[in-house]
Order: sequence, then C-alpha cells, then structure tokens
Amino acid sequence: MEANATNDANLVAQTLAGNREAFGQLYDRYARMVRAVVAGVSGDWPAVEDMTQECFLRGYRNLSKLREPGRFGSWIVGIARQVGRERRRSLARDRHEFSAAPVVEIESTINGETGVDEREQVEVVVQKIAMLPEQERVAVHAFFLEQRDATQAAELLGLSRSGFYAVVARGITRLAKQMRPDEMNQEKGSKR
Amino acid sequence: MSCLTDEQVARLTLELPEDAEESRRLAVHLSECPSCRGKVAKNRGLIDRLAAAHAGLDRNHVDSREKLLEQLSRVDVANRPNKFWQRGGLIGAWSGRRQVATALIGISATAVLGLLLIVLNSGQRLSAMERMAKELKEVKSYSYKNTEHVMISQKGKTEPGIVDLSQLNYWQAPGRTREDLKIVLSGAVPRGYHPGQTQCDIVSISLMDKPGILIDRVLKTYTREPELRAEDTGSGSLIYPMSLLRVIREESGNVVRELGTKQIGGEQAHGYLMDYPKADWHDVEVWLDTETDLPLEVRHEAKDETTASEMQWTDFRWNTTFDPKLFDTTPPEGYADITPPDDVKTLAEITEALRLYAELSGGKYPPIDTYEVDAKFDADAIYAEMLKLTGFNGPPQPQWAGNEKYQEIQRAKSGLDWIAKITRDKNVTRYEGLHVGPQDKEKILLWWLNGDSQGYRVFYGDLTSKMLTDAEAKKAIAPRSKIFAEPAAEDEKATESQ
Repeated sequence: MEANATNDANLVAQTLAGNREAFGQLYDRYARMVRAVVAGVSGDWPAVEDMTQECFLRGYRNLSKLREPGRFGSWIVGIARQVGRERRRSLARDRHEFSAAPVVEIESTINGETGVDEREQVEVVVQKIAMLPEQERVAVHAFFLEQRDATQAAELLGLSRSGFYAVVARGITRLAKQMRPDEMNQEKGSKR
Repeated sequence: MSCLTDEQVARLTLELPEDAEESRRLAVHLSECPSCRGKVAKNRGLIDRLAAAHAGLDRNHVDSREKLLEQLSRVDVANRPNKFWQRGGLIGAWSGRRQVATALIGISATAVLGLLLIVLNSGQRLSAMERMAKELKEVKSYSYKNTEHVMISQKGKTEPGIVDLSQLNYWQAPGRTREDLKIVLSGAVPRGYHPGQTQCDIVSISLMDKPGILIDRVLKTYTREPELRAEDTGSGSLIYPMSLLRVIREESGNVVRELGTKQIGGEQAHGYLMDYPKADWHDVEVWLDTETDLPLEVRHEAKDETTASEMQWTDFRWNTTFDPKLFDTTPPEGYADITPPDDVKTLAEITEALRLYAELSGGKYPPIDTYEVDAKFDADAIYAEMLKLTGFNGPPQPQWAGNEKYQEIQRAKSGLDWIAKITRDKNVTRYEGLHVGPQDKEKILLWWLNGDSQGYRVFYGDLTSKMLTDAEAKKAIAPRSKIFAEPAAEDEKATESQ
C-alpha cells in the first residue's frame, strides 16, 4: 500500500495544482469502496451514485485540508461514512414517505439469462442486506465491489485481512438465514 | 469430522482463503456429506445474486466519473481563490473578514444563498422559479438582515458559549456592496473575553469604480480594500443576480409542506417548509412574496451534538433606492489606517527593525505572540528596550545624535511602528517572535493578509520575505484556535482530522 500512498499523494498534489483528471484517477481507485460504504451505512441503494458523487465533491472542496495526502483513501472513506450517516438520518426523518422497499436498478443478466424472476430475486437479496448490522453490510458491499479483493477494503475499513473475511462470512451466514428457501432459488441461481 | 458450521459454509461458498490443512479437511467432508454439499450449493445462489446486485452499482462508473469531472469544473478546489466568497456581494456573500470571524468563534454560519437555493428549486415550484428568474434579471438593488443566535457546548463547561450575530447587507447595481456585521459573545466565555463583549463590529464597503474600505469599530481602525474588478461584478460573475440562477438551477430541494399565507412588512407572503437534502438542511421555513416570488423571510433552527442555532433572514428589500452615504468610503474621524504596506521601502524598514533587535538582544526577536488574547506588539516599548540594550538610558542626550547605533535605532522605529499598526487586527495578521528566532528560516515570524486578491505577505525567521497565494498560505500558516473549545465530535474527526 506504500506505493499507493505515494501515488495518492501525487494525485492529490496534481489536483490541488488544478489537474482535474488526477482527481478522476483517485475516483477510479476509491469509488467502489465509497459506494460500498455509503450503501452500507445509509442502506439506501437507489441513492448510492448520488451519495458517491457527493462524497467526491466534498473531498474535492476540502482537499487542501487533507493533512496526509498519502491517506486519501482513508479520508474519503471517512467522508463516505459521514455522507451515509446523513442520508440515513434523512431517511429516518422521512420514513413515513419511504414505506415501500426501494426500487433498485439491477443488472439484468444473471448466468447469461435475462428475466424478471432473476431481477426480483436480486431485489430480495438487496432488501435483506439492509437488515444486516452496519459493519457486515459495509464489508459485504466492499467484498463484492472490490472484486473480492480484501487487501484495500480491509485496510480502508480498519480491519485485518482475516478480520475482514470473518465479517463478510458472518454477514453472508446471517443473510442466508434470513432468506426463505424459495428466495435462495438454488437451481436457477447456481452456476458452479 | 462433524458437519460444517454455517460460517464454514459461507467461507467455502465465498471461496475465502483457508490454510491448506483446513481446506483439505473441508473438501473431504464435503465429498462425503450430501447435506453440507446442499447447503453450499444453496448459498451459491445467494452469492450470484449479490454479485449481480453489486455489478449494477458499479455499472455506471465511467458515466459517473465523467459527470463528476464535469461538476468539478464548477467547483473551486479549496485552496484556489473563490472570488465569490472573498469579495462579498450579492445575497449571502460574506466578506473574508466575516469568514474569519465566524470561523474563530466556531459557528457553522450558512449563507442566504444556500437558502435561496432551497427556496427556488423545488420541482413543485418550477413556474415560480421561472418568474423568479425574470424578477432577478430586473433586480437593481436589494438589502436584507441576517441574525443568528448560536449556542456552543464547550469541553469541560456546563454553560454554553453564546454567539449573537447580526448582519445587514446591501447591494446596488452595477457593483456596490456594503455589509455591517456585529458579533457579540456571552455565556461561558474564555479567559480574556467578557460576556456581552462585542467581538466584531465591522463595516465593509466594496465598490467597482474605486477602492473600498473595511472599518473596524472595535479597534477603531480602517483598511483600504481593492476595488471590485469587472470580472467580479459583471454578468459572468457570481456577484451578479442572473449568475445565481445558473447555480440555482443545478440544485434541488423539496417542499415538505406549505405553511399558508401571512403579511410580512405589508406584503402578502406564502410560506413553505423546505428540505434540502444535499446540504443536510431540514425544516427551513421560507416565506415568498406572492407577487414576485422573491424571498421575504427565511428561518431555520439547527441542532447537533455541539451547537444549537437559530437563524433568520428578514427585512428583504428589493429594488429600493439607497442613500448614497451608505457607500461612502470616507474613514471615520480618529480611526487609524492599518492598510498593510507592500512597497519596498516599508518592507525594508520592517526587516531592518527586526534584524537590529535580534542583533542587540543576542539573537532573538521581540518575544511576543500576537495571537495571545492580551498580547500586542508595542512599538514604543520595544524601541525603548532597544535603546536600553545599547546603553542609551534616560532622556535623549544631544551627543547621542552622532552615534551610528543610535541612528540605526531611530530608523528602526518606523519599521516597529508598521508592525504594531498591522498587527492591531489579529484576525488577518500574526507576529510570532515568542516562538520564532533568526535561526528558524523555515518558520513564519510575521504575516498579514495583503488584500483579497494579492495573497499573504510573510517574513520567515531569517527575515526573507515573499508573497504566498491563498493555497500556499493555508498550508504554511497555522489556523487560529476557535474561541469556544468544542467537545470532540467523531464525525468531524473522521472527515477533517486526516
């Protein structure tokens, strides 16, 4: 991660010097993790992209306050937690307006097939994730968004690699218990 | 081996790494146990769906990146000058001085601009916004009053610190602005302050055609301000009413509910309770003129772990004729001019005065830190000390006049006077001879804000001097501590302490 830190510091310096593309590279590196955190903390999937934009905009505005530019990743994850919490508070205030489950735009192709059933089943999973404890939600999101690579996710979440895996496994176990057998849809869902 | 635990099933399904021995044992068991095989297969359906859901979240990465970079072009990265906030001007624009004052006190003051964004962007009020656009285009002048009552919890104190802020703002086309700002502290104030004390009482007048003035009624001083430039006041700048619409149209707010109608200053007003999620502003009470859709009154209460605030924006006047005296930049009689110098001669005098003191005192500068509440750079006392250090005691003697060192000290007085004058305003200057000596060539001994557009003049410990941009100054100059010590807030730490 040391090389990453050096690289991050360079990208931060370039951004401060007016190079917006450098900030784009920071976005490429950390947007997945930020999505994981805002989704996990807020529980509001439909707003994930907006929240991610908000995080990076706040980061951009406050970039000169970043005392250790090599730690941009931890810093932007901190902002993501903040934005996620604000969103959660906002949802709590408006909960009477959010009685229905959020509509989630789901990748329509699963196992090479396209169909309404699959989408519905994914939506069910998404709704169940919202019932997990926050740490497990964030870890599960990070695991999948980071292409199952724990190295960066664990560090940014302040966990060891094994600790990160343990939290993910715990989340999946809890999720599996919450699903009814028909929601698991063993036959259609399995591709291995 | 007994059957797999649920977590072992999960780890297997997720293909998480295990040590070789554990992997072998699990594989053997799985090959022999149909029940566990079934559990793993069942979990795989779940994993596929999770992967599909997350692929959806990531799918728009490229478009989102493009959108973000496009938005950045309209946002000032924090260390580049933001003319709008620096210059003051149209609705809610505060002078740099106000930013300093509010930052020192620690209140999270918010601009009327933000409120107007809230007001004007409801999807439910699109037609009102269009009417507003027309009205704004015609606006030739406006004024409003902003008051805030803020209570700040303090570390180790049961009583909060209280800040009362009042501000009158005036704007007149094509580019005249005036801001009267007063901040009073009460409650549990720290050492060196007194309850009821006016912390800040300034009038700031900026003009397009000639230099403006910043009058400090507490210090009884004034500073000449650079004139507003065409790019700060023209139709392309944010100071011009129409330009606000560009910002406004890009924002969004929600009407929570309508509040009915009432009379405000003889005008019929319709009220709305607004939410502005992007700014995390909620329950903002906004009253609009039913004829023009221009704001007549805005109220907001906010509370978090450390701060409770009540803010209101009232007395909006649109297209009124102002008394020309409002924009008169003649300094009040008896007030001292503390406009910082930037000519070579004065800078040399300052350098020479400090160099000579260090020489006479054995390698240190006058040991003062003007950030301390009661500290001041007393030029007369320092001059007297320099004479004493050189053996010139008592009343001046005619024979001293021919002494070279005595003459040097005489010449140094001018530089000392300049430092004393500049550092009267502690908010935008600092002299730090208490902590910085001639050997500290990396540390800043003296700095001052040289006017909004010109940056910061700094002198290092070795007396080299240069101008810093806003961005460079933010990195080099330590921010002044807030007057009220707030309890630590975890969220703040997460975002700002890195």
